[in-house]
Formats: sequence, structure tokens, C-alpha cells
Amino acid sequence: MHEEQFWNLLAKKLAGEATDAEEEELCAIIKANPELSYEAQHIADLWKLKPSEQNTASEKAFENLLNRIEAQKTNDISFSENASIEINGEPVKKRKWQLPVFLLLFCLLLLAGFLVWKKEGTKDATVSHQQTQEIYTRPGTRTRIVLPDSSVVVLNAGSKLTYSQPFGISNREVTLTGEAFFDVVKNSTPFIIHTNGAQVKVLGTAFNVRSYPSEKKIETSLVRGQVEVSLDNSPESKYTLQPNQKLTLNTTNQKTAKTGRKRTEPIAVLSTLSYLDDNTIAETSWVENKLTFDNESFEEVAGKMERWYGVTIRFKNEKVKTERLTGVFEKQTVSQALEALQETAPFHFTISNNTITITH
Amino acid sequence: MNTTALKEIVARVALNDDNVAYKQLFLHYHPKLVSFSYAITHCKESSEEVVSDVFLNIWNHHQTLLRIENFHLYLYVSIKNISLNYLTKQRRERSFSLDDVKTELKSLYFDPEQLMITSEMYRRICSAVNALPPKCRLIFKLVKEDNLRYKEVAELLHLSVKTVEAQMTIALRKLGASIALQQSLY
Repeated sequence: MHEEQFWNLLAKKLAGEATDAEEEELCAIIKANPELSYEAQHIADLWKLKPSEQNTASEKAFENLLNRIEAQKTNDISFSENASIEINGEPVKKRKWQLPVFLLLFCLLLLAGFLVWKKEGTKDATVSHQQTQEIYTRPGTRTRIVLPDSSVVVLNAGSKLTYSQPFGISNREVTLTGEAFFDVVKNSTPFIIHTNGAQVKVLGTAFNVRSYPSEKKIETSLVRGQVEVSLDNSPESKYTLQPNQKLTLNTTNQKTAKTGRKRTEPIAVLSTLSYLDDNTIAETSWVENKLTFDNESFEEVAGKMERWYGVTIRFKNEKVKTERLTGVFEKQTVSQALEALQETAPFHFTISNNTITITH
Repeated sequence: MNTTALKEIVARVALNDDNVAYKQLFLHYHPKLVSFSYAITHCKESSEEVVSDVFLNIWNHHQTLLRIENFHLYLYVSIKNISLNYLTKQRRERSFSLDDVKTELKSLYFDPEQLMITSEMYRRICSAVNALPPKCRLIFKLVKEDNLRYKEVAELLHLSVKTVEAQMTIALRKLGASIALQQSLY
């Protein structure tokens, strides 16, 4: 029996160790024993799973590491012997000339920096000192971030949040693409979110901002406190939200407003938040791992599902896109969710790899 | 992170003192290296310290980084050596047995939804992985999650490539058995 050889070759193939001849041999074994292809397929799927890359524990560990680097700068204590770097078994010695050369380079850099600063003015120079932090989530994943001012941001799938450091004392500005739930700590500096042509300004509140470029609208939903929303190209018109209110800004109109063409839809719509059966707010339910849609078109729903499950959804039929759907999903798989939706709307779907095709 | 991307990031740390690249490198490797160190030290705090030591060292000697031929493997070898130093300090012994390593597979603690399998099969796969002998599980993890080549695992653990191959075969055969068993239930 080829069994031992089969597992050996499959392992090699998945690990990228197999030679061409070995891959051919593996194919031949599967051909001769078709029942093995079931296990081979499942193991190949399993193999593709990768551990989540970034987490807050790593961020915390990195902060500790930076503190150690800082501490060693001030104390000038050479760190423990056992940490000495070894290349090919030989410890690398610091060269004697390095310190003076570095000092000289440092002075030159300072001089160069000063000249640039003189030339370009204060503003640019301070900007170049700042370090930009960028946090993004891939489709199918969500992440929770604690900002340096202790405000909490939950970033939904397929979104990006950037902010520049130092953050917290004089600067509390972030840029958002996608969707995030903010729980902002109260402090005298306003917290400002820039997103796709609009900005949301708050002091200390909990609210949700949804601004996926593909959806051509910005939704701000307020849970508590007070927020102020304004458009970048007309900063004089501000919208103030009260708790339990939602503001939807139409970003396509914003652009036509700029070019002076006639608007077809209102720029801004104010409405109240919608509640699910168990008193949770639909707009922020994703924070608790719920995927919800409330009388939304299949096209919008597909966009949400793509990000949520990390899949691609294609429509073979234009009419299906306009079907209105309502639903809440928590632990269901993408196929279970679609099966449930089939109860209310007439469509068929097929799943191959990560692509789902919807037909009438 | 593929080899080219890694090389580029290491070069940025080595040549430009680039602390954004340094952070990226740290965040990319931190979970994997902590888990590898933990396999040896069996102590959460120590494994965190080991990773921090190795990265502090990288920062302090960043100008020499480009002389390292295989940076990926270098990190694992460093983690192993410094983990052993921690063991020496604690237990006055500087060796570890491969039959005594503790390995957790991170990629399996995932939603079964992502694989579109039943939670029953998911449980079965997990318990099959957890039932693997320690040495076998560590080798499986290093190849699957840490992207080490057979040759690199062999070098890291002082084994022959043949042994790594044999252990991988065992791991896959047992995983396969857990799936096949499930199939016969339906």
C-alpha cells in the first residue's frame, strides 16, 4: 500500500518541499485511490489557515520593548551577556570608531534638518517628526484598538484607521476608511475623525462611523454624548447629533455639489437608530459579532457579507440585486446565512473556493 | 511575509534605523516567537522576555543585520538559545528534550466557519492535533505556521531532514485519520 508514501508526499507538497516528480507521484496515488482525495482536500484547506497576524498583546509587548530601549539609552547599561548577537558562532564586536562617526553624522543630520526647517517653515518640519500609525483589518476580521488617550476603537472588517503620533495631548485626529465603533474618553482636546470628505468632531462619547468608499455614503450613529459632523468642502454647515440619532451623508452628491450640478438626492438624512428584537442597536451590532441588515438591497447585503466572511459575491442576474433583505446572523456560516435568506427571496447560489455566485 | 518582503524590511532596519519597519518586524514575529519560546521554557513571562531580549539585541546591533544569511532561521535559533539561557538560570540545566516541548497551534483556534466544516469535525481535528506527540506537534507547527523549511527545522532542532519528513508524515496521517473517521459517520 502506498499509504505512508501518500502522507509523506502530501506533507511535502503543502510545505512546498515536493519536487515535480514527487507531485506527479502524489497525483498518481490519488488517481489510483480516489477515496484519498477527500482527506487531501480537507487537509489542504486546513493548511491554508493562518494564525491572525496582529493583536493587541503584540502591540503591548512592543511598547514594553520601546521602554527598554529608552531605559538603556538613559542608563547606558550594556544589556546582559546572554543576549549578545552571534553570527556564525562569533560574537560581533562594536568597532571603536563607531561612536565618533555616529556623533559626527548626528551633528550633520541636525544641521541638515535645521536647514530644511529654515527653508520649508515650521509646519512641515514638525510634520516630518511625526510618525503615522496605520491599523487595518482584512475582510472577515475585526480588531479592537486602544488609542494612546485610552479611547477604544473597534475596527470592522476591511477598514483602515490612521493617526499620527504623538497622539492624545494636543492632537486627537484620526483618519478612517471603512467602519469603526468609537468609545472616546473625555478630555479637553476634541477628537476628530476624518473620513471621505467629512469630519466628525466629538469630546467624549460612544458612536459608530460607517464610511466604506464602495457604499458612497457616510453613516454616523450616536449612542451617547454629542457629536458634530461637517463636510470638508462646506465647513460652515454643521450637523449636531443627539443620542439615538443617525446621520447619513451622501458622498456622491457631495461631489456633484462641488461641480455645481443639480442634486437629485438630499445630501444629509437624519433618522433614529433601529433596534433589533433584543434591544441591541442594529447599527452597532457588529461590535458584538452580529451581522445585521434591515430592509437593505441584496447588493448592499452582498457588500457586507463579503467583508464579514472574507468571500467574493458575484451576481449573475441584475434583478436579484434589488431584492430587499432583513436578517441578523451571529454564528452562522456564509452558506447557512444564504440558505436562511433564500426563505424570503427567490435566488440560488453556488460556492466554489471563496467565490459565491448568485443566480435567479 | 515572503522572503523578498522580509529582506526589504530587514534592510530598512539595518540601513535606515527605520523604526516603523522595526515595529512591523516585531509585530509580525512576536506571536510566533513567543509560542516557540514557550515550547521550551513552559513559562509565559519568560517567553515574552526572551522575545524582547532578542529584539532589543536586534535594535542594538541593527547595522550588522545584513550579514545574517537567513534572518528567518536566525530568529528561531536566537530564541532557542536565549530560551535555553533562561532554563539555565531557573533550573541550572542547559538542555531541553524534544519529548517535553509544549506547542499550541495558533491557526487551529479559528472559527470553523472559515473552513466551512461542521463544528464536530473541527473538534475532531483539534483533538487529533493535540494528541500528536510533543516533538511531532512542534515540527508540524514550525513547518505549517512558522513557514520553516524541512532543512531549517532540522538545523534548528539538530535533527536529520529524514526525521523531520517522517514526523510530518505521522502528523498528516493522524490528521487524515480524524477526517476519515468523520466521513464514515455520515
